[in-house]
Amino acid sequence: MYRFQHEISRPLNSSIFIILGFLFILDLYAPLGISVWIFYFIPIVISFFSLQPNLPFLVTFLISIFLFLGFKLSPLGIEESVAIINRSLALISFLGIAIVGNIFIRNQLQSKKHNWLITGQNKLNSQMAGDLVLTELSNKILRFLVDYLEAKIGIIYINDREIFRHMSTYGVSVNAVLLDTIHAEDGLIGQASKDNRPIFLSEIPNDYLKIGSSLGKSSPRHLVIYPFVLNNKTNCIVELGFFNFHAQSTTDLLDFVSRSIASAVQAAQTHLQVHELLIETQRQSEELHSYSEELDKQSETLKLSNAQLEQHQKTVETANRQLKEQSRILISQNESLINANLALELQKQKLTQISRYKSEFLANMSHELRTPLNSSIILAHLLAENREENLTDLQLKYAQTIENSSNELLALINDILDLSKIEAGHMTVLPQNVNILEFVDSMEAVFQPMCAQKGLHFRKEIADGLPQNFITDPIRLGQIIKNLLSNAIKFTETGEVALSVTTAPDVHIAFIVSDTGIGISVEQQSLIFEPFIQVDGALNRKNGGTGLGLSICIELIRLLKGKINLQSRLEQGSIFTVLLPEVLDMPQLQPDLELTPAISSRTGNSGLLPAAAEISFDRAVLNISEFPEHPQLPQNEPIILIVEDNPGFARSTLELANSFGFRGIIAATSEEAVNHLHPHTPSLIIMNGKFKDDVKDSLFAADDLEIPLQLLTANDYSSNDLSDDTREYFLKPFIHQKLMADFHRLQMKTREKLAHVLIIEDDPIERTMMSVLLNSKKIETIEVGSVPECLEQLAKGTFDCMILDLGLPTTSGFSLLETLSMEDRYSFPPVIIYTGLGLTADQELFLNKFSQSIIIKGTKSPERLLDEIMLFLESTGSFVADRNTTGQVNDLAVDVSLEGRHLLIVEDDIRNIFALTSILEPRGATIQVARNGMDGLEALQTSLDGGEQSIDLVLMDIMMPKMDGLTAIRKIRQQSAFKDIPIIALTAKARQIDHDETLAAGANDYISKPLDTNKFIPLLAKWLK
Amino acid sequence: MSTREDIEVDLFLEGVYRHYHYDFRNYSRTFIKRRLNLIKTLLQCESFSMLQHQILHDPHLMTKILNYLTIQVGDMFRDPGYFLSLRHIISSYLSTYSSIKVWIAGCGTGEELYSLAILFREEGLESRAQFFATDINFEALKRAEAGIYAVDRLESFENNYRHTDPKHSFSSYYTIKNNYAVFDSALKENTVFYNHSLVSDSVFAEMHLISCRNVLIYFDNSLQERAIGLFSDALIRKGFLGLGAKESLYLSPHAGNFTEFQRKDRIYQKMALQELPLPRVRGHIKL
Ligand SMILES: C[S@@+](CC[C@H](N)C(=O)[O-])C[C@H]1O[C@@H](n2cnc3c(N)ncnc32)[C@H](O)[C@@H]1O
Repeated sequence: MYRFQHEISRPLNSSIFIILGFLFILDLYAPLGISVWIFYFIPIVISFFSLQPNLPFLVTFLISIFLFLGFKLSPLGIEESVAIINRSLALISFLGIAIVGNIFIRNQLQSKKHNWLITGQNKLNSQMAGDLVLTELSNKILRFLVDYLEAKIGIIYINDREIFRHMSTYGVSVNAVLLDTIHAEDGLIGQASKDNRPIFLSEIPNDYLKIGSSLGKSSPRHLVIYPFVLNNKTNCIVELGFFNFHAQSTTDLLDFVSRSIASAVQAAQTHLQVHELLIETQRQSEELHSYSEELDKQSETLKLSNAQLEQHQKTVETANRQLKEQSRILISQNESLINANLALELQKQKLTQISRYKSEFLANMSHELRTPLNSSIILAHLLAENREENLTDLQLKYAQTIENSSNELLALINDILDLSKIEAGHMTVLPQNVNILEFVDSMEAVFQPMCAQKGLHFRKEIADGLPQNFITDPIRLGQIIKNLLSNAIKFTETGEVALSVTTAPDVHIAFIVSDTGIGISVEQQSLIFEPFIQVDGALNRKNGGTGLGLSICIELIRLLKGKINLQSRLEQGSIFTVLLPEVLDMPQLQPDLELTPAISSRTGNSGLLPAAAEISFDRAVLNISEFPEHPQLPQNEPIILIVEDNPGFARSTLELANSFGFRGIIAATSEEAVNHLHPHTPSLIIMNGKFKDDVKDSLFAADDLEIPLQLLTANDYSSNDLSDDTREYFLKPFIHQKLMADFHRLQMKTREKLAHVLIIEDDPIERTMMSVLLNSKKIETIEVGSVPECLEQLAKGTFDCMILDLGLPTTSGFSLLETLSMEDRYSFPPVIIYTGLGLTADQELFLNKFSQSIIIKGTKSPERLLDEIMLFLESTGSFVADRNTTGQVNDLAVDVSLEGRHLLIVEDDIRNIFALTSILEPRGATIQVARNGMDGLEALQTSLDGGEQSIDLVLMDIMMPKMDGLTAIRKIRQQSAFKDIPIIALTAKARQIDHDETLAAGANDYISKPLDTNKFIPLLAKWLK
Repeated sequence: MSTREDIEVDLFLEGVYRHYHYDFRNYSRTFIKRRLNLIKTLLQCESFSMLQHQILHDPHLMTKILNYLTIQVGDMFRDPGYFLSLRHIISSYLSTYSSIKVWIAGCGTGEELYSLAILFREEGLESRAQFFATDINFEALKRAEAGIYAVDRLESFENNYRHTDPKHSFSSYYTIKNNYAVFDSALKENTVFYNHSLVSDSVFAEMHLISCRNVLIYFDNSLQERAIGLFSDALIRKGFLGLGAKESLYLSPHAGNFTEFQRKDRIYQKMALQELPLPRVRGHIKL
């Protein structure tokens, strides 16, 4: 019987018998002659649909009995003989219908069965399609068979050189004991393969494989072992176990698909063999090749020794040798000369280095000076304001004097800093297109009023034949000319001050600043450009100058590859001529260029805020007006409440919130915080842990509020200690990510709008191309062609991402990034750099700090751009969360505080750097990174020179570009200052000798990659003790 | 059931591993047996056990045996089609990165490295590329670093080179000194050479391109799996993996991490998925 035969039978059968019964009763009560019996054909026809070929006969048989009984028992109606004839004829025709029914049902069954088999075959074929590896193939076959035949358990064995290996199993409980291999003669499997015939079993021993399921374990009741045969060879056997078993359909199906399974298995095996054979031939051919090379080498050496023999016999050689000797002496003399030269050169280098160290020291010193100075200025200013009106006039005057002279001191220090910065090579130059006319106008705008104040005439003059634009660094140029002009005004009492521009020989442009002032004597003209020498000290002091202006000028002009000269006569005036090249080549950035201070300093800050963190001001400083709400944010955006009394911390958190497009409210006390819960309910609260207890009650008392709360502590912030005039606080990366995840979640919740991308690109065609590209992915774009336009957009609103071309007119992308990182007025979305320029290593380093990724334009760059943007838009938030969880797991795993420790990581792999950072920073360590051995050495050196925080421990990767870790460790150990600094090697190598090598080089310990936090942290702790 | 020979080979390899830390235990068995048979005859040993005795007591022999167990066959621009495809990948895909890291795993005597370096130079990306050339055979590494090849090999080099859509004349890359071609040392300026084993060591940096040709053929399935796993971990999202002419990711469980970029040249590209962008750093880490 087939499985589907049962399906419709039961309801059908009962309906047939009910109708039969009904008709019979009707027939009983109807008098003979009323042909109720005629309706008996109905159940027969119904039985056609039953899929049981014998049912029509059964029904007819029943009918014949009913007809007879009906005839006997019905009340009389017509003539009995007529009734007999009627009923007999009816019976004959019912029999005919039954025969037709029987044939019909058989056909029906046949085609149904056929369909079932074909469907099975098709399903199987689609499963086996493609180049499947054997395991995959057998998995799929087994799955299909088990599903289609409704088996409970299944195993496939594959014939591997007359040994059957089980390849896949289904439903077999995990602790079942399966033989890995079965020899072709063993047991039932062996039997089936030998006979090439299936085996059926119904009496299954109790210890047979249990079916593994959640319902407990039981053994199947029926078992089929079926060999798949191709060319008289069994290449695969399947064993299937059933609870309910349909023998016929199961064997039919297995027979039906047997060929295709056998050949698929065969094909997969052949494929594998071909693959292995191919590899083997390649191997052998290489071996052969190497063997023949070896032979070649041997014959070569033979030839060589022959030749040598011959040579030995030649006596002429001796004379030759003498000649050589002489030339060697000559060479060695030459060499010593070169050596001497080298030593000289080295000496020279050392000297310049020393002077650079000096400048660096100066730079750092003046920074150190400025911090306390700043505070005394502020304090003096507050004092001089005399708010409490309790100072005497004299005291007031003192306070003002303190403020004034502190300001002068500050100016002096600033100048020294500038000068030493230039000398130390820390000053960047970014050449850009400068419009001469605009430049002169901007100077006039500043200096015309100053002249007017002093009763002087300001004259500007632009010669004919000047180009409209030229290429130099506009900021530095401005500094130079401003300095000269303000000097000119300073030293001139009557007459005029002039700025004129003309062309000069050799494609130079001359900026001439002239005055009719006191002039400079011939003796002093040579001194005037020396630092710290003032032409007229007294005068200078009167005018509040520092005397360093001109020295700075000179250095700046040198940076711009220009020249300056001076003509002057006492009492008649001076003329300074600055000659600058029309095109300033992009200078090679110095490798030791310090980016950090330049980037993180926010020049032009009020000076109140930064100091606040150090000199504890009263709370009044921290009112909300200090932190203006981001004006561009729409009012319906979510509000973040920041409860924090340290203004630095509060600000950096607020910035982050703003960058996500959220408004932030800052509360410095718990009362304020509670007040801010209404009327605008914040969507997220970020709170310093110390307020927790005060605020908690009121927070959670308002039970309708369910506001997510994120607690932070002072440990979650770090500050830059290198900035120019402000100390700034950052969230540590770990926390930064945590908050970003929170914000992102919030963002997801509150908006369903499309992604917005800002494109900054000056070429209109590229711009259109990019926007079309992005629009095709349902990304909204706004395109701008210059930096000012871009800033305008960023001041207006926020974006999910911006695409930045670096080569823009007037202002470059580099300075745009710098501006964005420094100024709060603009939102700062994640950046993808998209540029046609090749980048220097330093530029790349710089860009890496601000951008998500860098794409250099080329044929495939649009593709990559789209890919990166999509990835970025999809993954923000989610990755943050991911990284977070691992971080927290780490936390739990090993808890060691590294508070206050400063670690140097010398490592090339950026992923590792981040992994390390996320392990170390949450534990309080501060981290410095160098990307290869050379940079690592330099970083250590700098720390020694007092420039940076001193380093407590070095983590040294071994396989790096430029200089490898072993060399670097050896070099570190050569210096007496670093004899004892702990160095832990991070190594990708696993062999003991590699580890011994790192220890021999001077590492204190090593740890293998990938890092295991559980080992790494204790190791660190051990060496940090 | 293991034959006596199998046991002897096992013991030999175990001995070499324990004593010299070279792990050939999971190399292709047929290959290892063939090579050991060769060594056996050369050293006139009667059995592998005798060979084992010799090698454990004579460290100098290890170098020799290492040279037998690692085949040093190489050619510049071997299978030119592969290098032609790489040229295309370099010029249009890798050129969009501002710095490009390339790992030549199992570099042997360096022919593959110089071929790649020449391609990068010709596509104008030399200065952006950083090459890592690794192998376990230190003698081969030394030769790779030297970049000196016998003159009679130049013909084959140049023949192959001609099929890679060349941009220069091949002779501009070397100078001839005493029957040897010395390759321009600037070609290896951005290369570091490291002893690194695909069997035991782990990933050391993030790569844009990995070329590992004719190394996997010597490994059995489990080692191939390990090596390909390393490559998969080391590659950036959308990074490229190139294999030898007879190698493929067929059978590899890591195949799902890659798409076939150029089937005939055995070049694969790592799929997007897992890798995620790095968080932006604001000042606190000095990179
Ligand atoms: C036939 S050479 C391939 C040279 C080159 N890749 C080419 O195709 O022209 C194989 C190289 O793989 C190296 N090798 C063998 N086992 C290795 C392993 N475990 N790790 C790294 N390299 C290995 C050998 O030392 C040898 O130099």
